[in-house]
Amino acid sequence: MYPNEVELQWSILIVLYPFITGLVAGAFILASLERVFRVEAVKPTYRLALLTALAFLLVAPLPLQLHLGHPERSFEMYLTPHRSSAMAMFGFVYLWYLMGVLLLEIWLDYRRDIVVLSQTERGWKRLVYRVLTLGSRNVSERSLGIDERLGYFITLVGIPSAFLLHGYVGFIFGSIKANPWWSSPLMPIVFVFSAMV
Amino acid sequence: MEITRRRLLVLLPGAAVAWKFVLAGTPEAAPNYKLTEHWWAMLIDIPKCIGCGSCVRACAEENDVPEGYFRTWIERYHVADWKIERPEVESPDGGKNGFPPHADDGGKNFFVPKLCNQCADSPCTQVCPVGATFITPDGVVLVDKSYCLGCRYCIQACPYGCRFLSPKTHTAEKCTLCYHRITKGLTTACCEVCPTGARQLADLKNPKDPIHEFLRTHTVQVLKPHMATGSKVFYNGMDGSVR
Repeated sequence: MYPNEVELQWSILIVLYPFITGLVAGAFILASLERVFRVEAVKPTYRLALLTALAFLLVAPLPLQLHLGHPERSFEMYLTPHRSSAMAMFGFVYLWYLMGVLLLEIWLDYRRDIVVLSQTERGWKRLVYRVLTLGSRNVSERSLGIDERLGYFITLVGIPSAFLLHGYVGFIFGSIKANPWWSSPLMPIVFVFSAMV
Repeated sequence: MEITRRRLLVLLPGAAVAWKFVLAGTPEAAPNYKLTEHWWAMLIDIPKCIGCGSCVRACAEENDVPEGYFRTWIERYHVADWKIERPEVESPDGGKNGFPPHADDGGKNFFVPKLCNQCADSPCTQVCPVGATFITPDGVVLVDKSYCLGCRYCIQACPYGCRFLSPKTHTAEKCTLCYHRITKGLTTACCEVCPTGARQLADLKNPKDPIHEFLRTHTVQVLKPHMATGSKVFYNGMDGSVR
């Protein structure tokens, strides 16, 4: 215990973060139970589970931002990442999960509804839905079939990604060799298993 | 060139980036100082340290170190007879005002001044997400406080507890080995005031530096060698109880 270490550096705000990503990974796995593993019992929760994952993933960085000394500089992590830093690389794991998996899958799942609404709604709502269609208004049987298959594939990729997202949070802690309580290659596995439980 | 709307949109981000460099200005000149000709280190002679706290006071004065935080500090070790694995360590206010007398109950007492080890393979530099902390070509680990996010990953990563978050700038702060002084041919503030010469700045790239002779003829240790950080603060006569 050195004099500078009297102050606890990573406190409740940092604890909150792995808790939230744990919820994200959990909700996504619930959704994948229906999509990939065909568990009929959880079918009604499919969309809710996906939206829960998205909602939690969007607010997950908030406690981190509040914890930073200079939140306004946080975007530098994407602009000038330091390749040897586990934290900088995590930014991209997060981005991949948000953009590559969750948003894409939700968009595919809601695409038919969005297209229908963009034609039936009036006023500014119509405009919003038109933007959300991203220019794709084809809702024929065939294109919906493609959506379905693509969604399945994304969920397939999404399962390991969910493990990666939460496991990587464990790696951020596990790679700190200065702290004997954290420094362990098993840390990602510990995180994933504690999320499952 | 005619400034059209499209061209302006292309030019603006470029101008914004350039303006950042204009604002940064030119670095303070250090004439006759070549970065590549030095590799800074420090030698600490434990038997010579009397725990007066001059170095801690000088450091706080020179570098405007916030109250309650330390870029350098002194620890007093008390080892009772054979209990080398369980030393009693204390550092009241970082040893800034010296130490109260220790009850004489046998065993041994000694002082260990500590500071950033200016590691050659420093774990703090490795983990910084934006590269705000870096190793200079002359071997000093520094923090760019205009770039640091204040995420404190480096504070967690330092095995020696040398870093802290400055309550003034909300960025990570640490010993700079008085970089503003050593690049002008001066020694560090702590070495300058040490009354017994227990702390000495050393330049490992200078073949005439007395450190080479010292290292060859003394039993020298670094802190936590198992961390393999390439520490460049060498301790002479360090007891095995030191953490």
